[in-house]
Parts: sequence; C-alpha cells; structure tokens
Amino acid sequence: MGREIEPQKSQQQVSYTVEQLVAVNPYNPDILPDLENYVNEQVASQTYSLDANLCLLRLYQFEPERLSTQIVARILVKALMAMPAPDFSLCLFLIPERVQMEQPFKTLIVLSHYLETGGFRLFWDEAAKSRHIVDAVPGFEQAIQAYAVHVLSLTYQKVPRSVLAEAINIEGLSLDKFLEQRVADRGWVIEKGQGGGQVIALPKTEFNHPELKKNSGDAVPLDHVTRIFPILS
Amino acid sequence: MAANYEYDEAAGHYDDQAAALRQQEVGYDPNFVPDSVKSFVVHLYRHIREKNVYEIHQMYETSFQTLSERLFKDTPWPSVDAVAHYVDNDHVFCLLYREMWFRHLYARLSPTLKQRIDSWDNYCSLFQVVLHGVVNMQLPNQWLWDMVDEFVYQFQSFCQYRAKMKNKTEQEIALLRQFDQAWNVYGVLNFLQALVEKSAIIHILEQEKEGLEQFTATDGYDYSGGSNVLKVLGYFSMIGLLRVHCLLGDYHTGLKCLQPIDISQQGVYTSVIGSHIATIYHYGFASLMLRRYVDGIREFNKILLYIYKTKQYHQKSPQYEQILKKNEQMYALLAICLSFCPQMKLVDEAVNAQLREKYGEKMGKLQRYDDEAYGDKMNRRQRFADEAFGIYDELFSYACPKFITPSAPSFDEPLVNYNQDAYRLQLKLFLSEVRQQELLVGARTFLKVYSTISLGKLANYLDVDESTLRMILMTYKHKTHAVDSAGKIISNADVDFYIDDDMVRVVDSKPVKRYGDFFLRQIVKLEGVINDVDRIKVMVAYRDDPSPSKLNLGIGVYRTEEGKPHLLNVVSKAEKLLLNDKSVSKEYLPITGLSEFNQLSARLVLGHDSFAIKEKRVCTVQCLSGSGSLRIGAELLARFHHQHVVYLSQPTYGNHMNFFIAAGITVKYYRYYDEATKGLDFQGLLEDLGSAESGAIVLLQASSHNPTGVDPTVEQWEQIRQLIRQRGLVPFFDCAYQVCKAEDVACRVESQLKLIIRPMYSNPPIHGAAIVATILRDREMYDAWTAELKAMIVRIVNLRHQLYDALCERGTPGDWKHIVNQVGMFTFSGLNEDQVSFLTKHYHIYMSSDGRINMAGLSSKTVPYLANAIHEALASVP
Repeated sequence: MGREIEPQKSQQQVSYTVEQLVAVNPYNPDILPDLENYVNEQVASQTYSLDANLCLLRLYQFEPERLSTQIVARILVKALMAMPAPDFSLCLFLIPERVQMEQPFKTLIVLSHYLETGGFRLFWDEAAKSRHIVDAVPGFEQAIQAYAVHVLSLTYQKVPRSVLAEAINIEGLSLDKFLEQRVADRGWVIEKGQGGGQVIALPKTEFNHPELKKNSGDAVPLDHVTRIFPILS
Repeated sequence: MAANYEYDEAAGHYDDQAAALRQQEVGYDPNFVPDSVKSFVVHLYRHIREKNVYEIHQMYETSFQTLSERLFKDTPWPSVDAVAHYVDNDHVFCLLYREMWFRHLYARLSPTLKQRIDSWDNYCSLFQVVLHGVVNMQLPNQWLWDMVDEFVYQFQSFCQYRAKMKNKTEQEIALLRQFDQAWNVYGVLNFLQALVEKSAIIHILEQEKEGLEQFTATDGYDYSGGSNVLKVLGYFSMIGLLRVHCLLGDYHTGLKCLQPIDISQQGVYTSVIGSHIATIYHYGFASLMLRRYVDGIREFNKILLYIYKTKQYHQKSPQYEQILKKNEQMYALLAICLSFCPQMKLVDEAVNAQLREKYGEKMGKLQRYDDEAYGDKMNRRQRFADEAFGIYDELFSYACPKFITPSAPSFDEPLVNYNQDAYRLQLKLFLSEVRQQELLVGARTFLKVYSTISLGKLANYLDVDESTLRMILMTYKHKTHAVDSAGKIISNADVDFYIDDDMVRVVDSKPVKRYGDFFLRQIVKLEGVINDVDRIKVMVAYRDDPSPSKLNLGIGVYRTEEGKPHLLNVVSKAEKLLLNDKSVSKEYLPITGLSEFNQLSARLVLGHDSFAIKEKRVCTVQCLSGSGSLRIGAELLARFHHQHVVYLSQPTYGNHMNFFIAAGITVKYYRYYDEATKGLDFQGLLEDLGSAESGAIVLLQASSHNPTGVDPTVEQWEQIRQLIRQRGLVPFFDCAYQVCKAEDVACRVESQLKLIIRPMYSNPPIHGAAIVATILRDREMYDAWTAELKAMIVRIVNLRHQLYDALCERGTPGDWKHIVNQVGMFTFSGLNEDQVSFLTKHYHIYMSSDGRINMAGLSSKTVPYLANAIHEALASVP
C-alpha cells in the first residue's frame, strides 16, 4: 500500500491491560495515571496506540488542571510518526488552544504543517533545531522517512535521487547504503534519468500506476440477477 | 380493541378553552389538571401497560403536540405530582411523564438552572430503572430516540449555559458548585456507554448478521412478550455517543462508537427521521474532519436525496423545522467536501441541482484560481485565495455542530465567558487545513486540461519554482489519499497522475458508469411495460375490430350472456339503500377501514363459527382492492419476518412478483402447472417447497388459481399444509387473510399494519366497504347475493362443459378434460402464442398471449364459434 509502518511495527509486545481499560471503561478519570504511564511505555518500546492516547487527551480535556505538557508533547510526536494517518490533527482537536500556543507545541505544529504540505527540506531543518523534542522519542527519524517514502511512491513512478535524498534527509554514502538495501528487499530499481542523474523506480502501486486500480463496485449480486430470469424466459 | 379504549383527542375541547382561559387569568398552576390532560395520561398509561405501540406512538407524536399547542403554549404541563394519582402513581410512567415535561419546557420556555438540574436527576432515575431491567414496556422508536437525542441536547445546552460565566448570579454559582455532578461529562458518557453495554446491542447486531438474532427485521420491537426499551435505547446511545464525541472534537472515537451500525444499509436508525439525520450529519462531519471526503460526499448525497424525496411527508412532524435546518447545514457541508474533493459524479442530479441553487456561486469562488479580468496576476490570486478562505469560514461556522467545553469553570479565577472556545479551536484547525490545501486549486485546474506536462512548464504556469511544485503535487497526493479506520489507503483523488522523472502524466479517468443497477431496474421496468402494452394492445385491438363476431376473452371481468360487464342486482340495491340512508356519513374511515366490513368479511372467509375469530386471533384490515391488500401484506412480511424470500407458483398472477420486489423480498418460484397434463404438477410443487429455505414465505391462492384455474384437491391441500408446517414455511394466502397465534399477537399485528398503511394512503375509501357491509349485514340481501353468485358460477361451469363437449364433437386433437377440471373464471387453454394470434387474426377472438381464456367472457351462443376457431387453429398452426 505504500505505507510503511516498519519503525512502529512491534505493537504486539505491549501488555493488553491498558488497552482493555480503554475498551471497557474509557470514561473513567481514575485510569489517567495508567494512560500517562502507557504513553511513556509506547515511547520506550516503540509501540503506538491512538485509542489510548486519545482517551488520555479526552481526560485532560475534561480536567484541564491535570494536563501534563510533557505527556501531551510525547503523544504529538508519536502522532507525527503515524503519518500519513491524520492522528496529529485528531490530537490537536482535543488540546485547548491556549496550550497549543505554548512551546513545544508551536514547534510541533510547524513540523506537522511541513509534513502535511510535502515540505520535507523545511521539516528536516526545523527538526534539527528542535532535537530536544524529537530525540526524546526513539524511532522518530525512521518513521518520518517511511512517511516520506509513502508520499513519494504515491506521487512518483520514477523519482530523481536528489528529490529522494531531500525527502528522507539521507545523502551521499549513507544514501547509497539505504538504496542498496531497498533494491535488495523492496524491489526498488536504480536507473539513469533524462538529465543524466540517477532516478529510482519505485514499486508499482495502484496510486502511481492508476491502471492497476481495480474497477470494483459494479458487481451485481447473484440473487438480483436470478430474480430477472423469470422475466427473460 | 374495545371502543372505550380509543383515545379521542378532540373530546373536551370546550373544556380546554375554559382551562386556557383560567390559565390566562390566574397564571400557571402546576396542580391544575384540565380534563383533556387527565384523559391523555390515563389513556397513555393504559396503552403503555397494554403494549399498544401504535396507539402510544399516535398519542406521543400527535396528541401531546396538539395539547401542548392548545393548552401549554407558553407554560409547562401540570406537575407530575398533580397527575400521578391518575396513573396509579406508577413510578416509571411518572419518570416518562417528567421526561416529556422537561422536553416541553426546554422547547418552549427557557429552563432555569434548578430545572436543568432536576431534569438531569430525572434522566438519572429513568436510565437507572431501564439499566436495572425492570422496564417491560414497548415504546415507539420515535420516543426512545427523542429521549437519547434530548439527553445529549440538554447536556450540550448545559455546557453552553455554564460557560457563560460573566452574567451568573451568586445564587447560580452557588448552585453550580453544589450540584457539580449535574450534567457532568463523565456522567453523561457513562450513561450512554452503560446503555450500550447493558443492552448487549453490539452483540445482538453481530448475532443478527449470522441470522441468530432478530433486531433490524422487527425495527427493534420485541414480539415475544419482552421489552424493546433497553435494546433500542442502547442502540440509539451509540448514535448519542457519536454526537457527544463530535461535540467534543473527538471525531475518531465518535466514528468508532457508530461502527456496530452499518450505515450502508437501512437499519433501526433509519426508522426515525431524526435519528437518521443525526447519524449521517455527524458521520459526514467527522469524515470531513478526518479528510475522508468521499465517505462524506457519499452519505450526504444519500440522505439529502432521501430528504428531498420525502420532505413533504414530514411537514406535520414536530421535527420538521429541525429537518429543514439540518438539510441546509448538510448542503453546506457537502459544498465543503466537494470543494476539497471535486467528485461531482458521486452526487445525484436532484441533489446537485439543489446544491447549485444554494451554494453554486460560493462553490464557484472556492474553485476559482485565476481570472484575467481581475487586475494584476499575483494580487488577484491572493484575493481569490482570501475570498475562498472567508467562504470556508462562513460555511463551516454555519454548518458545524455546537461544540462544547466539557470542563467546569474554575470559580476562583475572574469569571470569563468561554462558551466560544471550543468552536474557535475547531474552526481554526479546519481553516489551517484549508490553508494547507490552498495551492491545490491551481494545480488541479491545470492537471485537468493536460495529459502530459513537464514540471518546468507547470511550475511556470503556477508561478512557482520546481521544488515548490513538487511539494504541491506531493501535498495533492497526500491530501487526496486518506487512511481509513483499518489503516488502508483510500484514494479520494479526482485527478489521477504520476511523475515520471520530471514529466507529469495525467491519467484520463473516464467516468465509469454503474451499469449493474441500472440494468436491473430497466429489466424490471421493461417487463412491466411489455405486460401493459400486451394488455392494452388486446384491449385496443378488440375495441377497433369492426367484426360483429368479435370476442374478448382477455381481462378477468365477469360478463353477462350479452357480453356486457355485469353488475349484481343486490349491489345496486345496496347502493340505493345507502343513498337514502341519512345516517350514513362520508367521514374519513379509520386507518384499518370500516370495522363492520372487517368483521363481516372475516366471518365470510373463515366461517361463521371460526375458532380463530372466537379467540380473537384474527386481524382484519380494509385495504385498497386485492392488489393493495397484497402490497400491504408483503410490506408487513418484509418488515417483521426475518426470511426475505417468497415462493410464488410458476406461473402466477403477473403482478405478484412486483408486490414482493417492491417490498424488498427476493422472489423464487415453485413448480405448479404441468404443461403436459394441463393440471397440477404436484410432485414438482412438493419437491420445490420441500427444498425451500426454512422460514420462507409461500404465496398460495385460496382457490381459482390465477391464471391457470388449477387448484389442488382437498387431499393435496392437506399434504401441502403438512409440508409447510414441517418445513417451517409461512403460508401467505392471496385473499389477505392471516390467522394469528394469540389475541395479543393479533393486536400487535394490527398496530403494525396501521404503521404501514398510515404513510401509504392513511385511510381507505368508504363507498365499497359500506356496500359490502350492507349486504353482509342483512340476511335477505346476503341470501340474494349468494344466489346471484351461485348463478354466475353455474353459468361458468356450464360454459366449461359446453366448450369441452364442442371440442370433443369436432374431434379437436388433444385432451380437453382440463377445461372441465379447472375452476374459477379462467381456463389455461394450452394454446400457444402463435395459435392465439391465429384466433385473433382469423376469428377476431382476443385473449392474452399465454392462452388464458376468461370463461366469463363466453356465452352459450359464442361457444361453438370459439370451438371452431380452436379446432382450426390447432389444425393450421403447430
């Protein structure tokens, strides 16, 4: 599908107790500390649960005096890492405006804006200035790179090397190494472009090769057809 | 139902005027109960105890409104204490009464803080009673929906009220502090959640998918003696949760709460217009905020089309204004969705026309990127962008839900109004989405007109550098590819393109028409047209045929020996009687028709000493003609019977299929007529019904099978009866009589029949029913009628024998015994289409092309003529 969730894939490891709390008793102020711990656990173990995090933001919304800036910031960084899903906006919808005007939220909102509008160069520059926010969450860089590759493969059949380098913020030898691996295990192909530079042919999807799109939705259920037989006979 | 149970809302009208007058003079007295209110609560209480859903629904929907309008326009209803002793101080009834009392207050007056708190307490008590499972009534879905809807509304209203802190009195602030649990957000959410869980509705809906449980098929009602209250409240609470979460800005969780309900299909949520609209409005709004534009467009389109088509039926509903308001708001939301994602092909023509009328100009401005008529290029583009921004702001503000801040104010800090905070935040975030997509309008404009364009050239048209263009194109892709709840990427793109190195290639996306449905609809239509044309052709041809010996054996009308349509003497006599009877009124009939007609005709069909009638297991409804009755019956089965399959005889009356298809029931056939013997294919019939799915409906014709005239013998009927019982099939007789299991089942069936009839035609006509009742009532006329009928039957039987003899005399090849064996007006002659047209061409004999002969159209004089013709036809046409 073009969306690579590899950096956060190990979701199975987490204990299910908090998830169960969220499913069974989501409107309970007493689970707030558990949910806060769970955010830290997600950060440490590189897992992710949107439902649990929204549940926590909801409790903050009901009792704003209990809001922890640090926890909210972590939730938002995790939500950025879940791009292309709209999780970051989903979280913002629940965070009071006056909180959003403060740091580090202002920076996070700018970062999200760059990602939402394909401004990867701007994003990486801004992220470099805010290492203290994003470095606190392991796997951040890889997650954003996966998102960048996702958007590129929606858009390009063949992407120039320089464009790819800018989007994933990897250059030179490191990029060679990165590409080598992708050629080996993801079916990427390196070719020569019109202008003489390298272009990378990304794997085909129905989004960059629209001819692959299945024409679904015009199926007629069999029993609808059978009911016209008496008429035809 | 005995007559004294009937609640008459017009009674006590004069008394009411006095009561209203009194109220004007002495002001509102909570302890004064006008007679009409007394009668209202007494009857409502009785109907609730007796589970008469229809009557409850009528009193709730109509009488309550009428009385409110008449007596309590700007005062509350009498207090619950004043009416309690009329209803045995019934605890649950009093809670229900209070719920309506507060609802009325909220709708017509503005509640005080004390009243808001009392209403909250009442909901707590009511929901607790329901959650503890001690309620065993059946309430109409409309009422149960209104409860959930009002509960969420009052919560929302309380949050808005509380957030306006600036003008609160000290007393109000003290109350707010003291009753901080009233309308607490945790309390509200937990009640809704508890109703969902305790009702096990999610489990029920899952079981239903596997055919293990019934919920949707009975519209949530319970026909095995139980109560629908907890189940249906639980069901509607899922929609309540969707709404509360949308008010809080938690769209993801809102949609998750709705997930157990499959909104691609009809369901209990569509059984009440208010719930239908609330569901789709919030679903669509949440989809918009999650950038799932196609989902939003699709659902908005569906419901707007539905409202467009059915608006007129809701004009008298107390919810009508609310329906119109939401209708307008959804057009605004649809306009937003379509501006982000211009996929007009998803929108129906009628909806599109409305949309153009309401928002055409605004949408044009949202799509406008450049227009050379307006000054310098960069400036005008900026101006268009700003103008679009303003329109988005306006549309969103008009159409969005009334967002709330759920937290209590801090009473110690300076008091500020914060009632706009939630709305401002959602608006701001929405507008930042608009900003992020601002540049897509220009790109879209060009991509639509090119099939291949280089990045450089496109960048030039858009006045941006190449790297910005790459950003714009990636933004376009990202924003048009949403992630669904399962994490799958869903394309909302209106233009498909991809970049190949530095060339943009646009893929021509031809609009793919959905032919499947269209195809099916046209076939059904075509069949109807062909039938009509055939019938009309025969009629017209007969009329225009100048031959003196012409003969019409087509339509099933009884004719006299002279070939004229026959009017029974006893009928004209009854008509004259009615004409002279001054006591006969031409009033509207009740929904179920003339009750005397119903009683007498039930006796006629089931016999004078029918046990079913004695045990009150019979429910009779006067419909519009035979076909009308079948249509109502089909509708009843479609709504309340779980197995949506009907078996019709092959062949059968051409219209049977249509009644069931219209009601959404799948039509299958069982073998009936044997070409070879021109008789019953009994073996085939047993085989087909023996392999029918359990619970399937079987349409049987009581006698004189149309069109074959072949009926089973008494012994065969007995075998069919046993088979039907053994296979768990449901017999449905074409003569619209059903016998129920028990008296109360019959009552409930009647209640449901009323609900079906009411929106179709309300009241049946009186004239025909009055004639029938006149005849059946009067011994003498009844005898005259049977005598006349007998004469008609004897005439037909004679004609059958005459025709049979005539054919035998002529030695016409074939066995004609079936003409004598078949019964009723029709004979399935066995002539084929070519032979029929031979008869028409050479003998001026008109009949339907399947060889069906209306025996009543013959006479002793014309029998030899027909026999000659058939003889000739068989000799010359194979």
